[in-house]
Amino acid sequence: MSSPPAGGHPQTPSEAPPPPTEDPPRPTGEPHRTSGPAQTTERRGRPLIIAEKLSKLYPVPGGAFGKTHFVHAVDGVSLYLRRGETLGLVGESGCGKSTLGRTLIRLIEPTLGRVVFDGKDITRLPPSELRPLRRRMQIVFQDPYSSLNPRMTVGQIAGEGIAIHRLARDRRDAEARVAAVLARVGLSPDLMARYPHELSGGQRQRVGIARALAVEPDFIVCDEPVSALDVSVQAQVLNLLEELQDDLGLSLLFISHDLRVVEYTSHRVAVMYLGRIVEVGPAATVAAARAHPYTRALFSAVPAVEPDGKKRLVLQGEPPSAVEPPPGCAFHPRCPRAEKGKCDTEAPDLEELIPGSHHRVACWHPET
Amino acid sequence: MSPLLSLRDLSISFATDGGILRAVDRVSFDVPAGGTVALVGESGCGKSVTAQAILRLLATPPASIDGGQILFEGRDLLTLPERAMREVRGGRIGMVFQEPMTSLNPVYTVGFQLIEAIRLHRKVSRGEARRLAIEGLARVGFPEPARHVDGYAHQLSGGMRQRVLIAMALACSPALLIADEPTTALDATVQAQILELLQKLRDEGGMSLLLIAHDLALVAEIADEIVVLYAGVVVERGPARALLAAPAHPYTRALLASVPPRTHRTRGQRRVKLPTLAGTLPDLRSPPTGCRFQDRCAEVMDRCRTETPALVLAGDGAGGEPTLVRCFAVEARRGAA
Repeated sequence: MSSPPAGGHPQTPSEAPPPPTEDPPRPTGEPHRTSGPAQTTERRGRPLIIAEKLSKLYPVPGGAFGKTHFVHAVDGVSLYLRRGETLGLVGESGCGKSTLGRTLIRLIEPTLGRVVFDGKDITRLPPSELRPLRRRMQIVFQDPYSSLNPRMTVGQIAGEGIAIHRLARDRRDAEARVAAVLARVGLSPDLMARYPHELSGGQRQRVGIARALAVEPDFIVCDEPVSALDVSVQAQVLNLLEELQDDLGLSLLFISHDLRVVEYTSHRVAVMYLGRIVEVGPAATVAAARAHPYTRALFSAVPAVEPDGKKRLVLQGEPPSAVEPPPGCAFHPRCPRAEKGKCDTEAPDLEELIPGSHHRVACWHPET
Repeated sequence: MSPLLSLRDLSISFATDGGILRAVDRVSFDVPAGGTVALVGESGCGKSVTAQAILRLLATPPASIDGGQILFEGRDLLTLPERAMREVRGGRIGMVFQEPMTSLNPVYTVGFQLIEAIRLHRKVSRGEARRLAIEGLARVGFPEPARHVDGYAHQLSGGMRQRVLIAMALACSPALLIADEPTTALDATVQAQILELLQKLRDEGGMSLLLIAHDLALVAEIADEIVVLYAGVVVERGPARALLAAPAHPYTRALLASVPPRTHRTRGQRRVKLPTLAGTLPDLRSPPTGCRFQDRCAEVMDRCRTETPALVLAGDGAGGEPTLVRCFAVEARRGAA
């Protein structure tokens, strides 16, 4: 599907104002800013990734003479990701979080909007110019069973990117790099000649991380990287990702349906519902405020060993279809605070609750 | 009063290419009438195999029941003739599996499958069975049961399919419902709905619930009693509240510690990492002598490598809420105190 001109899509309601761009923070407002070893002052000043009104539409054929409809898998999302930062992206299945993650690194072509990577608009970049940037944007998948080629050895899997991007001087250098990256993720070099089926789930996920890491990226999309793992193995992989980030200054987009994991692992958290971000901000702020009723419901659904005594808010119904999203705020049919005549007609914008807090909510009646 | 279900020293093994694999080793626990027991552990601990053995769903061979008893309503299910077992399975004991996507037949309507389940165990007319099916769907929270009864599985979301399976399991008012990871494949908000539903059904129907789960936090709210399995062995068991408040076995403690705490990161600051378990499950084809957890245990002693610890009281037994634990280190601590 080719990209229609921005703003010209028939399904885009013209009366709704476009969601505001999430303003990238200025360097002066960032007392905690630290950076990877090799970064210059100039590069530190701007976020590594900026997405502006990013949309991904999929056509749904409407029968022989029917009008083609579009699913807004990602619907006008604006966000930024700083260097050395983890942005957690949480939402339920079908909310578009994986599509958003892949659109950011152009594994999926966006329909509308743009992505700026390290100051460069990569949205319309031809393949020849995109390729060198590809090295800097990697992805780790959820399922360590199906995302590794069963016919390739661990060494081949981890070394493929090194070969493709011609990072090694010679064969010996390539092997040394593979051994180093395996050691980096806690795998013994003895495993290099093994095949994925000989490894445990946790080891496979480490291979997936090693593959991404081998080409020395700046940004990794982690798409449900621990969801298929046992709790004790999950903790190991979370520790590994955090350690790699601390050491290498990586930026991570951490996609998960598990709010418990996202809250723990992310500096900032974005909550997604039906293709849109409904709340975003520093993890501690979002966890404390839970300003959007959907965020509140998600937090309420987190199982706790010590129930905190708060009444569990069990949402009624299930996420609606993205083919025919409800009018107005997409959450209003399930929302305990929905106002008739407002929430069911007008979609709220993502706006800062308190100016300067970097905490944004798309809700007409946020919890305060 | 005797419990509804009582497992006594149940042992199960599998014949594999590499030898005999002892998947479940002398597992004992009770499910009281009207109570909820959670069987908790990570992949490979034997929890699902135990559940399948209760319903005699294991194919033998390769599986083999090496010993023990499964006493249900006073009868040993292991010695029951298959005919009588068929009445228990789906009749007195209902079962809900993890995978709501594949557990329903895609070519039959939801109602057809529900009616089939009802008429298998109850002598009622088709019309009466249909009425019961609609009633069952209403009970598990279908807003328009009369319409959904004629729908197909693919028209339903994962959460709704799981509700159908629960309705099916409850069709014959079982005394015991076994739910094997009933919410694992579901979204968080739907997970909360299903747990709430199971609790409600248990409270209304006086049914017992055996919940199989890998997530201690998930069962914390619903279970009366928790049984922790590691490598086919019960390492700790006791009342949920007492066990979670003071977990005694190093494995239970490690499981609880690997749940991410509600803390937040500050940019540019390193923090203390999550405690993790080193190593992997022992090879159950040749388990180590002594405690099965020895190679991953931070408190391992010489004795752990030569003798197998027994299940003993973790505390002094005062307060009426004893938990049992299988650990020499705990015994040594208690002896020293």
